[in-house]
Amino acid sequence: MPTATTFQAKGRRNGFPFCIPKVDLTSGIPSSTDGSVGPADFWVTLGGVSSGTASQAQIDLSLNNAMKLYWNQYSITAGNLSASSSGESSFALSRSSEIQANNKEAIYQKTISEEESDYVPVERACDNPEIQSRGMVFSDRHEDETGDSISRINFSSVSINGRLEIFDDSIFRMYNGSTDDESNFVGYGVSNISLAFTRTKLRLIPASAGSVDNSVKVQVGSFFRGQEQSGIDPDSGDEVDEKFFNCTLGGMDFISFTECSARAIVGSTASSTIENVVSASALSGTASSNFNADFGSPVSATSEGTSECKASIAGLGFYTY
Amino acid sequence: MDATSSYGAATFVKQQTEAAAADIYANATSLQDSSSGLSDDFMDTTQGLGGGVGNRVNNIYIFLTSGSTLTIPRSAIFANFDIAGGNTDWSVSIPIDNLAYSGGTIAYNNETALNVGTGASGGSAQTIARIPIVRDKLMLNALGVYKEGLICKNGEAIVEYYKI
Repeated sequence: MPTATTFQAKGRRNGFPFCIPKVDLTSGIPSSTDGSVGPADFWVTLGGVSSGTASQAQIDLSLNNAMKLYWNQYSITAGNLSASSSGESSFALSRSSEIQANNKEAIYQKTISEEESDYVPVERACDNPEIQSRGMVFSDRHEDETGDSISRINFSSVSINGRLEIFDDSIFRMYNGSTDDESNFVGYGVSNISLAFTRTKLRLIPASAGSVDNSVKVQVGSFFRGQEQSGIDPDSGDEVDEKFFNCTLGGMDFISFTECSARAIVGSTASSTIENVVSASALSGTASSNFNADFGSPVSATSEGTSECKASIAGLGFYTY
Repeated sequence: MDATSSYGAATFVKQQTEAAAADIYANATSLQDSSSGLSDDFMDTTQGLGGGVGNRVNNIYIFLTSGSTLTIPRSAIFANFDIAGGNTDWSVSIPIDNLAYSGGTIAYNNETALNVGTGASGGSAQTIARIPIVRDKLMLNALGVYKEGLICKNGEAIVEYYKI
């Protein structure tokens, strides 16, 4: 990891250059799955507290970790980050797209006058109005190269992001109850520290010859509201595996919300086999599909396709001194 | 002595003999040693140590993050201060535990580092925060009211007492 220039910042006398908003974990948390608002279903502070009250040592540990994230985070590193799909049919052209970015590191950078450069710790003491954007982002996309009008909807994409929002808005003092009662304070946390996302789509011509849509999303934060779900989603018809996990990233406790979705479709008149497999785990997930179809008479026609998405978050990088 | 003579004697101010131009130039251009602003004897007196005159604040009051107020009396601060004994610097050393005043015994000594350790936990956790009182034999404007707060040093928290 890179070495940073030593610095000292007074900030707001709370360890940060801004006031930290409070969040009541027992109400007002927006759901990650259905849009409802209510208590957090899964939470853990950066000091490892996930229920009840916190000791002073646990609160202090959460402060240390929150400051480390704010001031010293350098990067986020992906583990598996890949997406691919391919299909062919006797009706028309074959389609394929593939991208891999395993172990990719997204570095925390700022943009000034369209120029990107590392956003070093000492710069985080003040809000420089010249900074147009800042974040840890890596993304890549590959489209089918046949070059016709449906090439663009045959694609594979991967991305990994750190700090989805301006960090001033995503670090919180977490309260297990009313924020008016300091005895409910259980430590510091973050609403969004990272997101890895992969997706692949395949569509043959005609669409009834086969299509697939796979995606994996891994979110990491300190608190979530949402319901776990596995099996066929009644709304979309996709095979899904959506679960929350306690996990450790960069030596800190977090909640991982992993959503995997897979769906392959072939024409209803076909004699076909379809397999969708999804698997969500802490900080990672996979989704894959396979299909083959025989459309029979009057014209003997077949199609087949395969696809897979993987996404995982491997670690956080920090500046040293 | 008549009345006029008595008045003259009472109001007579002895005029300084006019100095030679060379003396005036020498005084005007000589560098003053900062540590000799006040004599050691004067520094040891009540007035020299910044207290005892009029209604000036005579203690250090610290508003702690716990909500209570810590009072450090001037008499305790200077009880063992001895310039003649070699104390050119003097500090109040406040014991820190878990990023706040620990409630332990406050020390007074010639150490000058504002903090010992950083962060709340681990082998390098902060154990002491200091308020500077005397530096280079000169009394700082140290008595008064402070707040306990956190600053950031290389991304780690340090307790600092800042004057308000």
